[in-house]
Amino acid sequence: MTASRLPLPDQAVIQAFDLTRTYNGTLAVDHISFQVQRGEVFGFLGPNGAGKTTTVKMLTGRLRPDEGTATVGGFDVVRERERIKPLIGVVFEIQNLYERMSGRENLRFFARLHGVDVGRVETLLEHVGLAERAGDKVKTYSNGMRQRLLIARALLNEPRVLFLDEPTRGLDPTAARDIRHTIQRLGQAGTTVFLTTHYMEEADQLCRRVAFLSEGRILALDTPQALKLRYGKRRASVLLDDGSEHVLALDDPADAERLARWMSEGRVLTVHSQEATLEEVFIRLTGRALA
Amino acid sequence: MKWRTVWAIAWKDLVDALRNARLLLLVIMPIGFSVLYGYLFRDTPTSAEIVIYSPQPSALVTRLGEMEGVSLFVVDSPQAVAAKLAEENAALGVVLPTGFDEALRSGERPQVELLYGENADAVRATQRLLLLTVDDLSGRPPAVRLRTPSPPPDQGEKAGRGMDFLAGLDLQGYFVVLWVVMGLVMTGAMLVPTLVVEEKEKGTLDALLVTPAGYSEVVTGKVIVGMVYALIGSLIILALNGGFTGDVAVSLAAIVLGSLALTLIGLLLGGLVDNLSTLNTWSSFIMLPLLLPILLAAIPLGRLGFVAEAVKLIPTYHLVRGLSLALTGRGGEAWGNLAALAGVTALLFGAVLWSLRRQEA
Repeated sequence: MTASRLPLPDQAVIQAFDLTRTYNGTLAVDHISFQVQRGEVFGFLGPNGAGKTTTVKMLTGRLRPDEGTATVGGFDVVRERERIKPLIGVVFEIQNLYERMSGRENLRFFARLHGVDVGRVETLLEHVGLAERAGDKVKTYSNGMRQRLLIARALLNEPRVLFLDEPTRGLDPTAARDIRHTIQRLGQAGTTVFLTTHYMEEADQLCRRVAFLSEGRILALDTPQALKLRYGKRRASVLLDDGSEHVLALDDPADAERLARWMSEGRVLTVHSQEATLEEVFIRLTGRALA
Repeated sequence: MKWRTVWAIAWKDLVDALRNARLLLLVIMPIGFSVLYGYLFRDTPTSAEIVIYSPQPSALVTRLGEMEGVSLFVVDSPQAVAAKLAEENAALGVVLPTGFDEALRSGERPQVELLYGENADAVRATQRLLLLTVDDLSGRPPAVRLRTPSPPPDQGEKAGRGMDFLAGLDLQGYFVVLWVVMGLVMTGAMLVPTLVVEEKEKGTLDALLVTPAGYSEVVTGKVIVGMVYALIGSLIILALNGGFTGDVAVSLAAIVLGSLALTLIGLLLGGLVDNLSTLNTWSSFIMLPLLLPILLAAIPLGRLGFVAEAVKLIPTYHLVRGLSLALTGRGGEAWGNLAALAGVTALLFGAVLWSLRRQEA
């Protein structure tokens, strides 16, 4: 059965309801519910140990939930695990490649497992910029190259849903930027992307909606813009005629009064509004930073 | 079971093992030692005394008579063989059946009766020489079935060896069994679980399990790889050390069943352990009892004869006994051991299936 023949019953490609999982007595995922729409890049944000990877494992059929249900492409992740496999591609948190094999051999092996024409391997190697080094052993690859190879591997079966678990972790800025461009292209091409990350800027840049996860629970779920407006502080950066620069909280009556006074005195040269960051929203919601 | 997937996984591992120095060493080491020991401890008899009766002229009698260092006494009746054996203090008495040469030529396995002399070492070496010569004449072993009305001179606990089946097996033959068993145990207890544990430790197992491959396809692929390397290693050891003699079919059956049982033990071990350093410790613990039957077989046990009885509970005991008997042309006595090996394999298969269901649940 190929992915293209499988039914996608409604707009929600991923549906999780009351999903729960305990590890050694600790609640790793605590009754979470959410939906991911078709073609959406969905961010799952949280610090290490928040339950992101456990959630991905449950959604990809590698871990049974203790409670709750989830479907991917309309198929139950427990009872219809085998039917989900043709629909998904996964980039894992660790760079789990066969190091003694070349990049091309890695992809050809997985192409055989998926029953995909090995000709697609060359297309994907070209697509992720690894064609020239495809014959080299993976152990000679840089982190960035390995990550691109992992993405190529996840795309072999042309998945409807791509799970990316911390895809830019540990990469240098250039390599991370390349990976983000690739994710952006995939999103634009209509692939549903479930992205877990603890890089807030990355989520802000790539995701249509994000969910904040902390200690196994979803604290907030919305578009980055809505979250920032709802939970962030509105501020303005003001440059005065004496060269001094001030950051004012627009919701603070005292700051608002100061700004009005400077304006009336004609001292204001420029005013720039400052948007809250997702990082600030997260801190406000959880009382602690992400890293 | 998706066999295309199984084959893809097996082929990946077969090729990958050749690039892994550690795994390659596990396959090559027993072969290398077998060659070295075969050279250092070869015991081709410098002199062999054989009493033989043949009702008709036989190429075997001619060939033995032409061999340097062989003193051949040809007698004119089967009854005269025993008397001449005692009189000349010869190593081996041989009674050929009527139509022996024609039977060999037509591909049958004629039955040859053997009578043993007093000197155990000379008996073993001369019997091996006889079997190799018959195999050479027929061009395709196993050429004969052996009938031995009396036991070999050092058989049984009287000699304090504990392992009766070693009778008739010369030093070279013992080393063939030793290195074949060593190779199978190393493949089963180390190579196979390494294939599984490396996938777990590097996280590639997760990558496999999100493809259409299931745990059962992954495990079956590993069984094939273990079996292929175990069989290749064993066949090379047999070929390099004159091991294709005696009851070759029984030898091969023992090797196939033994390699399957040991591969399944390796799979169970691989399922329990999550990293290679823990695996190394456990493999060492498991290898020792598995090698005990072949190691103890070479040691006079004296009052510790009960140890020989206890060792019969270890699956490799049946491999060692079956192989030893087959190499000395007494494969007919090894059916019980083959049956025991088949039983152990079936039990292990059940355990692996149970473990698989747990993993896939």
